[in-house]
Amino acid sequence: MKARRRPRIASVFTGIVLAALYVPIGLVVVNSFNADERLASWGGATLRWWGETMSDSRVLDDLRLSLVVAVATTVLSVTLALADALWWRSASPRARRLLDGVVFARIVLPEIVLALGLFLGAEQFDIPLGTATIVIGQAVFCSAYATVLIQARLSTMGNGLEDAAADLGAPPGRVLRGVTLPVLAPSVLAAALMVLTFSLDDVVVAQFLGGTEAETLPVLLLGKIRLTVSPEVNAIGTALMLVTALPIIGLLVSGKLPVPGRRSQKAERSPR
Amino acid sequence: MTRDPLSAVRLRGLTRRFGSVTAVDNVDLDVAPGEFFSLLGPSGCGKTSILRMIAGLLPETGGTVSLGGTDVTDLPAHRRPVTTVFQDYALFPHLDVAGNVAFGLRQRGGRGRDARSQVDAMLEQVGLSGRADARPQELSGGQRQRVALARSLVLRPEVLLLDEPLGALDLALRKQMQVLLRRLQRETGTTFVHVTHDQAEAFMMSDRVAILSAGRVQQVGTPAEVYRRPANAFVASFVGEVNRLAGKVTAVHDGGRCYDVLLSTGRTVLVPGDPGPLSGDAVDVVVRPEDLTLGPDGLEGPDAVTMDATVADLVFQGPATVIWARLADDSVVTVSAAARIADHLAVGAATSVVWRPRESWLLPAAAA
Repeated sequence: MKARRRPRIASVFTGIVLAALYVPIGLVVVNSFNADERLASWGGATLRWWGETMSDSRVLDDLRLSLVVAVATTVLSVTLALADALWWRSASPRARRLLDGVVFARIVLPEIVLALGLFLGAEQFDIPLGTATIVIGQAVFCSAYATVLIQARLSTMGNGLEDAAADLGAPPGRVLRGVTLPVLAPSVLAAALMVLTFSLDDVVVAQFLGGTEAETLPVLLLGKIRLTVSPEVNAIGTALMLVTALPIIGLLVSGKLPVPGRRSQKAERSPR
Repeated sequence: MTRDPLSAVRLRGLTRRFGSVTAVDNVDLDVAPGEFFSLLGPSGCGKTSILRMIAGLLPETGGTVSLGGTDVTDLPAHRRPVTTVFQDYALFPHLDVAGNVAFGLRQRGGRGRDARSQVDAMLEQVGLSGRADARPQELSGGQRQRVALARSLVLRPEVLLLDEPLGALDLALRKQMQVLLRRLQRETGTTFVHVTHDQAEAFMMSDRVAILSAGRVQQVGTPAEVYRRPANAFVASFVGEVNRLAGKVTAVHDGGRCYDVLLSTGRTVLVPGDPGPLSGDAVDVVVRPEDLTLGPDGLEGPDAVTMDATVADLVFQGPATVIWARLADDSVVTVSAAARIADHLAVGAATSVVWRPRESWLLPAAAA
């Protein structure tokens, strides 16, 4: 049989697209070590920008706030999503449609509209803007994505495992702790990682709902490039990238991240 | 708690409706302790719904479920002394084999060395000792099936419910599992209630069977009773192939245990049956293919009936040959005869069909 012709055009296009995506990111990383202050050309390697960034208390404060917000948003979103998904199963068909509508509305609505609405609402009711409002604002849309992820796993799981657990004598609370949650764990982890990433690079909600005090790192970055693209910006950008990418890279390497369509490594051990 | 030694499972008026559909319709059943009892019926007859109501996994629309003489209708699933082997096994993917088997013991506070040795003993009994650390995903279908069995039996339930447990296995494995199930049932003395649509499987394993159709119990009895003396036309044809000879009752004997029937071929025969039909009623005489043979073969005694026929078709099946024989009234009967009897026959040949009416059974004529 003749070998099928490799789709060469497809690989060329894939290459171009990947390059367009990753070359600028690579430039940011490289330039964070560039000694040339105007970043016009390669002026030799330096750790000066990293040094300045790491000693800039505003950068460090903002980084700390970004992490606090991200963790809080993740906990809140995943908890909400889990409750949503579990409630959905026992809900009446009408309540299910309502929940579906509410979830998809939060995904479809432009973030700027959500942020503006929350901002106006906060003004209306005299709610002080700050860290808490950022977390709530981000959780509004992050929890919707998390709900969809967890629901997908829940629907493939069916009721069979929980029926079996009850049949073997587990009361409802133990069924939840001993079977439902452990089986859902991979999807909960995936949802948490996604929310963490969404939160860390969110500008719109953080900008609208942060008020004058609470400033996250992406908001600081945006403010800085408005004036000039200082070499320091590259170092902040690279640092942010590391913070977001490290947990995912770690999970990919350890094989614990559930990649759709690929069986977990445990299952690949041949039965014998 | 009072224990009724005569009844492991007692259903009274059990009913389940899904919207406007009645899946289980006023079912009464009694299963004796230590019995291997099968619920047999085509798919959609409500047999799985009955099983789930016994387990407490499906709320009933009406009626009661008693286990060992205690009404458990209002008890939730986790407080009923029954366990289930599910059709798709429903093993916990996040636990290994030993964890799956220990799951029920842990719910009762069983931990430590004692629980561990119970799990080991159970795995030994189903032949899975070496696989205690495997995940369910790593096991073959037959091994998963045995884990599911072990997980249920280790709790020593009063009743083990089996929901088409062999449905997903290939033929060789099914045979093996049928033997294992029978053995475990004898060894543990547990009452088994088994759901299947496979007549041969139900007959092979069960002490008694209940034949279900459209949510109703059609007949309860030993496999032989159900096969030889079916309660109605549905049971007669569901449990095996059957020939029906149309006729009319001319006399009733023994208070309805025996009937004179005038067949459409013009002969009058004496046929056993259940009380019910009256003189003049249209009836069917049902005869199993293996109770018919071709003559002459020396079996004709004073009680044998011989009917002239021509061979319409025949199929050699190894130990037996199936012959479709056309009778004088143009109806066709199926005959399953020893291969040697049919050796010399060809399609179109004249022959005679021989049977003994006392080996047949009388049923009211099927409507339509």
